[in-house]
Amino acid sequence: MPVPLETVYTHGKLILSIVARGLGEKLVSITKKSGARGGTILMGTGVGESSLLSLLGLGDADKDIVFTLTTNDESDAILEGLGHCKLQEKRKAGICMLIDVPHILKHVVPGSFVLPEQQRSPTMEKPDHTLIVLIINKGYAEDAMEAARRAGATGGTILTARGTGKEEDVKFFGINLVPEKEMLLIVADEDNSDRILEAVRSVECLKEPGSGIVFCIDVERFITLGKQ
Amino acid sequence: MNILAKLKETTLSVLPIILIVFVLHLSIAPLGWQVFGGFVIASLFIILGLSLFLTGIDIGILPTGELIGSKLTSKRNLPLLLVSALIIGTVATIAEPDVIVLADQITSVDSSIPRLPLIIMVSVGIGMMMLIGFLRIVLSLSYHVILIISFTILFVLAAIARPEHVAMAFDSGGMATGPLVVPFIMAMGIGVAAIRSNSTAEEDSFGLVGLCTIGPVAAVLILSLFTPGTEEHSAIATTAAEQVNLFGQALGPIIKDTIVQVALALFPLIIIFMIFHFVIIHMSKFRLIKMFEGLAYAFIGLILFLVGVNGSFVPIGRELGFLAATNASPPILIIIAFFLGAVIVLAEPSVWVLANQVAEISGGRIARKTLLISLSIGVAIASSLSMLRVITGFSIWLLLLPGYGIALLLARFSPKLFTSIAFDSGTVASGPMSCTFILALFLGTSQALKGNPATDAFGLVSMIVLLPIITVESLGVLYNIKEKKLRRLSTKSQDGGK
Repeated sequence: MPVPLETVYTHGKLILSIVARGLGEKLVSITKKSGARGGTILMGTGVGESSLLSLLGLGDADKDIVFTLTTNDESDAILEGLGHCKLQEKRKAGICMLIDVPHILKHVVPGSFVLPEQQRSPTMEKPDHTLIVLIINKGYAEDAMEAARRAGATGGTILTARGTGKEEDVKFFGINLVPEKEMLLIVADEDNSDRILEAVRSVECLKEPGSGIVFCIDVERFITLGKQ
Repeated sequence: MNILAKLKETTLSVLPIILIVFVLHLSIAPLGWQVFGGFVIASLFIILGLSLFLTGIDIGILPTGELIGSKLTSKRNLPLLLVSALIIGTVATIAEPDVIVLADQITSVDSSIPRLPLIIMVSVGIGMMMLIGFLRIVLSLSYHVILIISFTILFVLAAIARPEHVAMAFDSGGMATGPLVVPFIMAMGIGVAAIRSNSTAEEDSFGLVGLCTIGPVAAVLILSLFTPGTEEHSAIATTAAEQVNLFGQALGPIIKDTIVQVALALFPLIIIFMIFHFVIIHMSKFRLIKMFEGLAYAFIGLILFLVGVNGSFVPIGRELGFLAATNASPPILIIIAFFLGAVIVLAEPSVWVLANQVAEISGGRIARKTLLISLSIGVAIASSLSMLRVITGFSIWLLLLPGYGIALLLARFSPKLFTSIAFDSGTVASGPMSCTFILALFLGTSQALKGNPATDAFGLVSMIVLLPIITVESLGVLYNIKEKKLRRLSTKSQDGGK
């Protein structure tokens, strides 16, 4: 008889890393050495790092995006490990950010899991970086990035996505058609983030209602990987 | 920056070709140092051209094709979707230089086949198959069933068509789909599949290009039924380059021809893109600029690439074949064909486009390297089997019928995603590099062995289409077995944990 599992929520951290294409697996294996249990890799495209290259249409660079969920204690060790790994020797290998996660859902055997005493992270200092996330209709992420770059953003990452679950989803021969979306991630200094938000908001093709949503996430720590 | 990464990749994929030619040059096929030097310079053209072309495809043709595919589907108007597919498929291929070259070759072998109707029927054939491909995605019809129906019709047609036309007809499928049209059609299929929220979206993303090769085969076979046929065989050998030039010598006319050809192939695409931009997709200003930048890169890249191929690779391939056949025994010829086939396919533009798209859509599950290796093995086998055929002269039926039988049978056992990728692989492998180079190699061999180049060479392209289908499907079967093993292991460990 399987024991009924109990659901608990723990406090933890999300390490979000964006690295050059092909380095995702390496990054996961490095984090595993410092205690991470695994990772999830997505594929995206880096855009807008250089204005000249963007102008020539050559600014795109393929990226791997890695999600690693950890506990408070482990996250420091993992970031420490990443700070001294081999990736640091590569040129512009990528970036890494630490994001606070208030609830991580876990299914455990009752009694086997002791909730850590400290539910909140010790002192939540004022974050110095912000992750700006835009979810907009497909085809407009580059326009948004162009505006953000003029407002001081140093680069962004585009992921392709699909919107779903809304009542206006339509059927075509019995199959749901869903709008294609693009998700644009931009990391900004605290000082810059307001200006970038304002710039993105005023892009002509993003002014119409229903064209997308934007939200910001506080980044507790931000490190770069590789020689800059 | 992607273009630097591409430069690295293309360099790595062209280097083995240079190496093999170098070894042959030192051993059984001395080309002369000046010719070899020209070949190395041509390789640089090819590396640079390929990188530029792939970058252009990435930022210009693929995103626009996907947008057209998904916006067309989101209109939820089946007649509009199907008529657009038919028109796009036809218009995009009718000006394709490959189709014109194909028509010239076919009419030079059998002058009783009318040229203009041939070109029109081949293009409409591609349009019709695109229509069927779209219909299949929208109505969720089984790819396997459509393949079985199509190939049954093809083989019935082949059985009643004039026997001398069969190899030629099967070749035309691979030849008619050129380097600009293939990525565009591929992207449209991905776009149509992308906006559907069901589980088959991944496997439906591919297969459209593979279906498109069936159209021209059917077109040529049907035309064959209505032509009286002639006995004269004027050698197509003369259409390939006459003698080995130093690269740089007599390059002027090649460059001029290439620019005209590429411009002709690009023009219909630009018209299609602009019509769709104004009527349906309404791209943002940034996207539009990027599209034109992409098209410009693809244009320049393809010209550099083709100048390298036609200016040096083709004549050298022919010379290599001739010298090797004069100086070496048949088994060595087959080994040479095997290795040249294995490396040449990696310098094929559409092959990289497909490998990238597959990695992207499967989220990295099917790595680019895995797909490239199976394609390479496929073309290597195709090339060595064809060499065996040039030497011994057995009938193409002995390869085609069992080959497609195996391909359709494997489609039952391989995962659906792999089946659709497999049929696309066949089409992308038969592009401007592998076909022209290997064809030239075989024309040279056939000439040295005093065979009939006109009949020996035909059938080669159909082999390059067929064999990768089989190897990629086999890869799918392997994946299936491995995944089942993994699943069994993980359920076992779960049981143990209880």
